[in-house]
Amino acid sequence: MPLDLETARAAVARYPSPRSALLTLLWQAQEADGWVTPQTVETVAELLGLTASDVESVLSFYSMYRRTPPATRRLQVCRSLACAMKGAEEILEHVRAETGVGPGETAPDGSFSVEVVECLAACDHAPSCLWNERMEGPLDKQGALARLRGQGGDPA
Amino acid sequence: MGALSQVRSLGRGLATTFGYLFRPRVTVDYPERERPVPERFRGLHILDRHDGGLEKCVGCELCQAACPAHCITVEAAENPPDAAVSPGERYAWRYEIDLLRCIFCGMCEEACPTGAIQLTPRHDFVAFRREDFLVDKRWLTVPDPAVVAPEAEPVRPPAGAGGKMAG
Amino acid sequence: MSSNPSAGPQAPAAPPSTVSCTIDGKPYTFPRGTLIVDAVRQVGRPIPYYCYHPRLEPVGACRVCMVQVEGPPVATRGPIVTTGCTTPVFEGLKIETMSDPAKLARQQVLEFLLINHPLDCPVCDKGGECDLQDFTLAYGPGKSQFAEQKILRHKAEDLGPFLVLDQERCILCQRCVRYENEVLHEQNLVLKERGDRTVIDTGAGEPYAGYFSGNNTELCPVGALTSHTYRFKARPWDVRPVPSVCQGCSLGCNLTVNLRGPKIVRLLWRENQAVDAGWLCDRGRYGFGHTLAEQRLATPLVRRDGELRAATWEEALSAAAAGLTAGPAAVLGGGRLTDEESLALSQLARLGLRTNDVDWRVGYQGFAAPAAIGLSEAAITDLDRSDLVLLLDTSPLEEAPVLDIRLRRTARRATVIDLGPVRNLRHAASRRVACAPDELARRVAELAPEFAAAQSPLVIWNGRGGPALAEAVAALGAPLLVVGEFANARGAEAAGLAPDLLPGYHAVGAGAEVAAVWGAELPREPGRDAAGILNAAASGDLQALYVVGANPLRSFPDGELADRALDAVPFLVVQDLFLTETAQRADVVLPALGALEKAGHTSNLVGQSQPVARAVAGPAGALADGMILRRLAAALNVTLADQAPPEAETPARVRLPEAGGERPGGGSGEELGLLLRPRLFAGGGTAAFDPNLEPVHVAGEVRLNPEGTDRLGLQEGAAVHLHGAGTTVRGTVRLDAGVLPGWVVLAAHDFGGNRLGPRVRVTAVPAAAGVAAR
Repeated sequence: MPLDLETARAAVARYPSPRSALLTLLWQAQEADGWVTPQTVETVAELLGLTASDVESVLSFYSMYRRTPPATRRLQVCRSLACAMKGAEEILEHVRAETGVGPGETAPDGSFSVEVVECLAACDHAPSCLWNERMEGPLDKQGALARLRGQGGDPA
Repeated sequence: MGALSQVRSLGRGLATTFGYLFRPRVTVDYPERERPVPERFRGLHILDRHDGGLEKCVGCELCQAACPAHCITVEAAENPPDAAVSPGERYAWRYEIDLLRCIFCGMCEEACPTGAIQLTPRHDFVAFRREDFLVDKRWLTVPDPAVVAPEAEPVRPPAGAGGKMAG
Repeated sequence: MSSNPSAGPQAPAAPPSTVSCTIDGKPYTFPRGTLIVDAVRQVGRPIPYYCYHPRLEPVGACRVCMVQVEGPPVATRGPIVTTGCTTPVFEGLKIETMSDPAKLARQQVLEFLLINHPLDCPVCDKGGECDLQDFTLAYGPGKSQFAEQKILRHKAEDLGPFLVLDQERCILCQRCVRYENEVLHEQNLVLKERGDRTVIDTGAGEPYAGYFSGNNTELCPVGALTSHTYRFKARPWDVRPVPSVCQGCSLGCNLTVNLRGPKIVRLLWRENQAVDAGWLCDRGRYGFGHTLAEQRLATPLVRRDGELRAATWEEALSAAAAGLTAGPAAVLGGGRLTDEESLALSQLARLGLRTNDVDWRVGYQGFAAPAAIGLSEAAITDLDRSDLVLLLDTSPLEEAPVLDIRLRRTARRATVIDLGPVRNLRHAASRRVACAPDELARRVAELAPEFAAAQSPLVIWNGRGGPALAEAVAALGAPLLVVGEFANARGAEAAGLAPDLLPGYHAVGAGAEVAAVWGAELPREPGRDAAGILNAAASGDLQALYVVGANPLRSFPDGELADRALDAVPFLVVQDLFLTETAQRADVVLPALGALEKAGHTSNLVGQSQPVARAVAGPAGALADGMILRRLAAALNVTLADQAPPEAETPARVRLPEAGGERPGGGSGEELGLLLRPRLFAGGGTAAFDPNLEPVHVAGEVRLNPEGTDRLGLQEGAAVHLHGAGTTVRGTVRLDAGVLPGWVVLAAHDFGGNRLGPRVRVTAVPAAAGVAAR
């Protein structure tokens, strides 16, 4: 399901200059497709009267825009101070040792991916994580593995 | 002046001459025997190689710039990715020294950032034609230990290397 | 940016226009708003900078132009160190460029810049003219505290046909990004990623697509952006600079030829604000490969037994002289000569061949100087102040690219009307008025009220179109900028290489002053124009044709007529650099020298005569056109005059060809109207033979509006056949919404397009046939 042009145009109309709607449109596209496709870049550039290069430039600046198709199961582990002290690093190491997939990588079959993120503002649940964009915690080694293998928590 | 004084001066001269018969010899039987040269003697040039056989010269032309006698000519090209001549991107496809012009000052050696051009103690270079003193890369580059019979290096610009401009 | 700051809330109503300040203890006065870096440069004090560039907006990215300032607004804090490129001078400011805090700040910035910059200066093309080298030597810390591994990135990344990027060497000054954004409005290069991962890159990985990539290599203060053509060819201390002028198009951008020994290794810009504003296009910058191209003619050729065979100059010239005087002869071409050579050719035609059948207009352009149709002339810099510009079916981007850069700047504040069947202003906003070629005159007339109301209007036109269109343009009353089809069209016209003009815009039949200088009577009857000459040749009325630096088979709009004429004419002499299609049919071929191989003057599109130097020798067997003409004149018993005839007080008008360089058709049913429009890299002169330009050479490009192409089953990149006038030409589809529906656009000067007649049918090449044809 690609970017809805009606919604996009409405967003553009809210700003004094079209370029200001760039981030909003990229968000809309990512919500629709799960990631920002090359086709989206062209479409957004055309909608806003920008060059595709300019859109690429902005897109690559922000780390929370996905430029590759997301895996089915996504685990994003917080590595900020509290979570690190509660063993986030060990969990990531354990996952790597068991599955061969390290932080920032996707399983070869595309079934799951592991990422690290900065503070999720859930230090009381440390080590906390985003499991398919949903806050969870505290995470443990077994839970992480089970989820990634599709045995625990159901992908939303 | 009388005849006696002439005989006396002749004798003095001959005494000097014959006196050398009984002193230690200072000449050597060159070229059968060679006198050792000083440690920092600057003789003929070589272009050195790295241990793996790659040429040290990267074709930066700093030797050419430093040469006060303008006797060095270097032209560079892009290393072929499958058959690199030197480490990195660039190598010298042409390296020529006019030994008749060279004053063996060693500035090229000073300027070289990779230690490729070196002046050796060797000084016995003779030729019968002036052209033979214009030495090229084949003459200068030390043999590659890995290659038993070194192939001739290309001394023409490699096709397509370093852009599309002809020649 | 902050180039015009207000003087503060309590400022008087009208602040003085200048401010006084001191630089390193000496008092100076500057215009208000001058940046510190400009002020310091003006008084001749050294100051380092990377991101700052006089032709770009300040950004303050590199932080190396640190100076110490002290003055009223910062008095409470005492002296502070700040960037000179983002701070304007103000009253009473004390600027210290060499104080200890300033030196320390610069040292620290340089140390940071060098943290990840590789020390591969010996293999870097910039080494020897690199600002990072120079400023580090002058202001740097001498040694680095950074002991860790430097970041490893892509080296020698291919960014397109001309550019090479070394990501490791980039110091992220953003000069290239800002040039692409502010000057070109194209954004071919952008910043990607962020923080320590930031790199310069093209858009989504596609190669650089613009016409002005080469300027980036000169803007880049380090060795990050370099050229394929110059890669490892020379070091800066090897090269000998020779100032000259580009003769790739009629604009005449100033440039510096860099030679290593006898060879050109690169061309650099040579800023002339009145002409090129400092920029060069890629064709101008990289189109020097033809000087060493293998196909260059290096010896005269004479046809013997039906074949062109090498001959001596004496043989070739006596054969040419005999053939040209055997009967009525005519002269075509001259738009690529120098001013002096055009004059010599004009005299040779009038006195040696006793004819006024001479015409430089072997393409679509009908006239070169506004005065030739009785209009007033605009200056190139008028674009910087005009408020209304009419772009009359002319593409500065394809015909005089650097002019397009200036026009983009104009379009940001003024109205630009882009009138014609093809959208021509592509990188700036314009008012697009699409219309068929035969409607142009009417549409121009409709603009009259708007032009009457404008303060300083201007028309840009390439002189294509017949007398009716010229009349309509004249009625607008605006000054005119005529973009030439050939580099020195203007000089050719001024030299009288036209059937009804003599040198200095004297009319044929009224050239007593010309006759006085030349010392002979002139033929008094006006001659035939290019179409007339070709018709006469085709019908057997001409005995001989002398074609100088022209290729009518490619450039003349009616290629079929040119074909018949060259076939029918009994004796053909062609003077050119290469064995072009026309030269292949010649009886005598005279090898000439190219633009950078001979000295003289060339007139640009506003008639400014600029000197060109002989930078390289060219092939040993070739002669400069002027020398060939001199020797041919001697063989014809004509003594060429040394001085130019005086200009006419009232310039004579030139008669425009009725067809106006176009055979307007218009689509009907299955047929599409055919337009021939210039494309920068489709050139027929030297560009077609230039190995440097080979990657961007345009051939067989078929531009169509996407509308209705589905019905024809045509997609971008599809192979198609064009059928028209009994001829079939093969091409590749490029969908272009800027083309008027119902029309198809081929590149002018691209071989084959001018043979098709005014209307064509486009059919897809069947896939199997497409493979077989390859």
